[in-house]
Amino acid sequence: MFKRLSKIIGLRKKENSSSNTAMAADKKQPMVEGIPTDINDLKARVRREFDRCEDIVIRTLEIGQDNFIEMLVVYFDGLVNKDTLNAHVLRPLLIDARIVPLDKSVNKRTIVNIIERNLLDNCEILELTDFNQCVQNILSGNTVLFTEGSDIALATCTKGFATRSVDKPDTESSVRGSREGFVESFRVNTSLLRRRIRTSSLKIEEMTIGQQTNTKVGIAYVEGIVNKRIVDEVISRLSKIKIDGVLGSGTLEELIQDAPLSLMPTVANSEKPDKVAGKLLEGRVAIITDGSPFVLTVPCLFIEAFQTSEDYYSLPFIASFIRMLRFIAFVISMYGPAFYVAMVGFHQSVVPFKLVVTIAAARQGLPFSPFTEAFIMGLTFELLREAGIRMPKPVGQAVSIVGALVLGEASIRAGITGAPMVIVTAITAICSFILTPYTDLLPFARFALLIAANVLGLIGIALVSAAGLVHLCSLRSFGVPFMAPFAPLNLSGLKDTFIRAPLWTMFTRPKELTGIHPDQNRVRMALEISPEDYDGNE
Amino acid sequence: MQKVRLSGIQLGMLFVGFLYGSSSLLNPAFSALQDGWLAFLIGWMLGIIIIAVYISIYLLNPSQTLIGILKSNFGRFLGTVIGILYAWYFLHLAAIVLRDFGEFSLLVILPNTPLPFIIGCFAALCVYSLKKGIEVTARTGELLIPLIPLASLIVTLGIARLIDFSNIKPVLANGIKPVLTTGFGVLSFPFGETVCFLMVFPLLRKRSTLRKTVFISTVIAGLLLLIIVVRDILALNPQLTQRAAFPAELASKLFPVINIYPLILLNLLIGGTIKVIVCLYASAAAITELSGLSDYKALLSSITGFSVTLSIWLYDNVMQMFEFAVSTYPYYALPFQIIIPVLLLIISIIRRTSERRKTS
Amino acid sequence: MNKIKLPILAVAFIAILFLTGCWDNNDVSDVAIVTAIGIDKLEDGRLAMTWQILKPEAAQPGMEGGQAGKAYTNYTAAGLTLNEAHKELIRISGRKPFYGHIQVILLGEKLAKEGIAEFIDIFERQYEFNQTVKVLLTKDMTAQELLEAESDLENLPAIHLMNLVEANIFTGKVIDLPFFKLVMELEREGRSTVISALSSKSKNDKSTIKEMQIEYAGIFRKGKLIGYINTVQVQSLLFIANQIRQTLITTEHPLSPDKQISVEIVRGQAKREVSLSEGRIKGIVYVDALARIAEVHETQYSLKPDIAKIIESETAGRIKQNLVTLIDMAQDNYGTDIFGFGELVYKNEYGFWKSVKDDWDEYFVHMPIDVFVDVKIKRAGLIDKPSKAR
Repeated sequence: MFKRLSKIIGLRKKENSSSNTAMAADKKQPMVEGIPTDINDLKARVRREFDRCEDIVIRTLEIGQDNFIEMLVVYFDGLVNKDTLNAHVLRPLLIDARIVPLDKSVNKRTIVNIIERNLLDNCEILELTDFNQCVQNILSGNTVLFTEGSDIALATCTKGFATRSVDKPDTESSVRGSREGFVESFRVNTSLLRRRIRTSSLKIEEMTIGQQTNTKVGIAYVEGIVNKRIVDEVISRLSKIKIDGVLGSGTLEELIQDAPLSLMPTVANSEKPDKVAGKLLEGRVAIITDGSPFVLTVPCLFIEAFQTSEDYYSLPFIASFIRMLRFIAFVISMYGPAFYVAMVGFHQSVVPFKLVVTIAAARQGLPFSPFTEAFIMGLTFELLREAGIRMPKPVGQAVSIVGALVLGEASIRAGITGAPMVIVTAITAICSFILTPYTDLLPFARFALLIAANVLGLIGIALVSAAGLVHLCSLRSFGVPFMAPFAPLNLSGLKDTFIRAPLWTMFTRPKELTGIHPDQNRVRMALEISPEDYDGNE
Repeated sequence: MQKVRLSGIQLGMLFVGFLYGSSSLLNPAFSALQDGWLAFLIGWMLGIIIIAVYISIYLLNPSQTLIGILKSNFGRFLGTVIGILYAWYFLHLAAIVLRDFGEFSLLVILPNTPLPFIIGCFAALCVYSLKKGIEVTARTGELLIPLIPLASLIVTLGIARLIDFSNIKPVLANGIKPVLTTGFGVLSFPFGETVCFLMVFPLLRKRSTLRKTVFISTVIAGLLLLIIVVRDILALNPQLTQRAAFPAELASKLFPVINIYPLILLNLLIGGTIKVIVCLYASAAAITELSGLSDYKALLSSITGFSVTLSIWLYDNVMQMFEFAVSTYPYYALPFQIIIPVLLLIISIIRRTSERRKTS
Repeated sequence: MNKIKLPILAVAFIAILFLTGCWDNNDVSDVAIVTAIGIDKLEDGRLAMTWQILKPEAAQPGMEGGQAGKAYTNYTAAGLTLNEAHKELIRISGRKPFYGHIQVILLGEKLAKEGIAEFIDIFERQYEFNQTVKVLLTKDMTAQELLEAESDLENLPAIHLMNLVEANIFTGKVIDLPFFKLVMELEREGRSTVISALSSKSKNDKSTIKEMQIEYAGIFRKGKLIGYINTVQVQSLLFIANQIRQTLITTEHPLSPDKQISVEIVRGQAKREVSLSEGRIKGIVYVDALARIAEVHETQYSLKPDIAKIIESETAGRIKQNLVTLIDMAQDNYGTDIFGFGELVYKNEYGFWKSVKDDWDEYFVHMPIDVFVDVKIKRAGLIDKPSKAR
């Protein structure tokens, strides 16, 4: 019987793996459709494609001196910069083309070549042979020129839609670091990275995801540092995505998670180019999504939430102190209410006598148990937070004032909650804002711990924490254990965890990320520049 | 299926946690009164020897679990029978530790909470952790196990002001016999129990590091336990240690200014969980191998459920529990911890030499 | 299979949440926080237990309005065992007492006379008792009477009592005996316990703690109170037991005997030894004290090194005299080993101990004990001589 069971299990495994390979083989193979050479067919084809797209502009030109050659200029109104189009596409074609001998008798191919090489003074021109690609180019703001009798179309870069300019990032503010933040425009984002890492090793591969939105997605990494297997994994996961729309990087994040049902994100995001550049240099892979100012980076480790780019711009002692503060904040914001409930309900003898007197006095005559109180206060806080975020800014302030009053003064005065609970909730709230990546998931942990603390006291807290820790340790982000460098332990990796060691001591690149060969990718920083050498020189 | 592999440090941590975790609460050498340290030293030395036996057995039969070794050395039938007995022993051990858990929590903080509920919660954690795989457990262990000695050391430092070195006198007041008996007890709890690791050794990534890893972890765990034993004798005085059900808990209560028994709780939870997990894993893996199944995870829930039931059904009361631990357990464990392994070692050596003769 | 599992697990989880109680979750505002316990033996042989229960709303310092009145209330209940009394208390007060924060345990005189060892079982057996709680005796009154006394200094009399004991580090005249130490001492071989006792200054007025004093300490023999020693003797006992942190010795100035001089001992270190020679045990006590001159009433001599030497030997003489008096008293009046020489014999001369184990106290009475005291004055404060009225 056991054998049968195992057979069934084994079979299932096999099925799974085979279906996986099948999916991989079924990779999107776009069909190639040639461009009609006959100008009328072409017109019909373009009209059909953009039927009822009223913002399309299809213009017919006739260029040349004697034997006019018909051309089709297709672009979307609003996506192109009309000045560029006028000055650098239409003007050369209509006016300058008279100087260049263009003739129908010339080989068909060369007309396009002449147009491309001799006429257009626009900087970026692509030759296209696939009609679908032409459509894509038109949709992304390029102007596509079809030439009579040629199966090659030219796409000129005339993109000129309204975009936000590079601005301070809202989610991550910085004191000493760069103030630039990513914007919604793909190209601007890649340029922000490119400007920081000026090496040809910075590769940015592009792909299109989304059957309807056709969103451009870039995969950036630094060759020579990155672990090639991680890049392959990223590409294979991204290419498996079949979804109608990718409207923000969050969609991609969810679809490439290692553990989709886990609360913990195993994909990090950032709005700051310097942060992303730093991660690229550590051997991570960045995923840039068109239309989203958030760039994803993988693999994402637990510790990353505690590291900010600021840490590396300030002195090691200060940075280490702040790092430790963040850990303390993490612990407080997770355990605060649960610990309070356990202490008040189970372990009064652990609390110093005078504190017990204070708490007992404050809790005298309150209607709710500490657990209910903590639950209500926690919930109220989450409501206020959500209201504060979603409200328009001026109203948001009003919400926070009302919230502070409701939470603080009134509830104590009215005898609904005790002052200690308000203090606990408040400090929990403050601490939860310190770790922005985890702010949204901390309430879950907090409530789970709260329930456990109410049933079993500290034992409950310990049990739930242990289970949580097991879960964290079981996670992997693109093959890298999520809790690295703590578990599996990597002593040299610990230099950048609880403390931020001086930069000249962290001379190797993170071991977990940069691949299997220990000899390769070793040195992040040349050892010669440790401070001892400066002493010798002076 | 990807093969599970543990790094040296992970195995070492598991080993230390296994040895140190629950024994640091109970003070394995309390019954020798002021000679406890001597008894512990004797037990420790014997423990190192017996662990060396386990290592040699594994190294003579590389890449085989205990069950495989038994089958290849005792023959198919006898090996299977002894293997079943071992699976039972590991299960029983898990049940004993679970019960210790439960009783401690019940006595120290949660007097009104039903025992099955507490044990059930602990067991659920163990199952969850094992379902994620033993390597996940080992990784979690890497994070948590260093906290146990830390907790004990804080308690020890806190009550250092009570230390009175004259408490170890008179030496050998009642002769050497009680010391030897206790030393034997120390051998069976905790050192002999590492026989479970014969199921875990094959998971080690580099076999060459096994000897070093295990030896170092035995020494570290022994040293830490020695600190506990000596602390209890010197600071709590032998009589108090002997009367107290959980000397460590008493020690934590003597901490100045505040009561820090939660630290002891932490110690219990981490150490005990690691021990239960290793025992359950050993048992599950043994049964899996005996029955020819492919994955131990399918069996986990049922095995743990059985173990929980067993732990509740095991003793009627706490008095029985302590009585069993002190006077019955060392003899009950004797065949599993010493007799069969020594036999295995002898047979393995004989087989090895005869094979060598054949090949040469 | 996984599809079925998840809802089942969720249902089980919710069921656990709602079906199970929170068995041991006792809110701090629902329990009666006991701050002090007094134990008396009644005439009929039952044990009476007095609890000083905190009323937190009145004890809270920051709360406005002092109308709340006393910060505590006392309850007394009796039973054959302390646990019976405990249940009786719940019956009359309606609240579960919480013992984690007791500050002092007071043992009534009658109880002490009949033996304390068995009655402290509960404090060891039950999990929530605070093992570092101070233990005190009451002399000439019951523990209940003492707990009724009010404190004009602290909100809670229990805190006041505890402070009285804790202040020992400055006076060196009170035995700071935490509960676990009492247990250890009771259990040690060849050692009798001494517990400080509170008594009332005047016979009639027992209404405030101000009227109380820790003037005596009770000597126990096999767990039974047999007599008292006074504070000077307690000081000497602490010297021998090596528990002196700070204490004051006042003597006449050696060169002008009508003037007083106070010497503050800042560190006292004592060593007890036993030596076995020719089948006889001899005890030796060495006391090494570091001191500073605290007050001088003598205006003639400046504190030159040779004068300091004389003061040193005078102080040493005084301490030695005190010690010898105490030792004689223990040997002649009480006939019990309060210094723990028996313990030393047990530890160092185990063979001999076995022969005298059963009647150690009788052996102790005749044991010769030598005392050596050495005082070293290290400093003399900010001035040399006091000002002199001319």
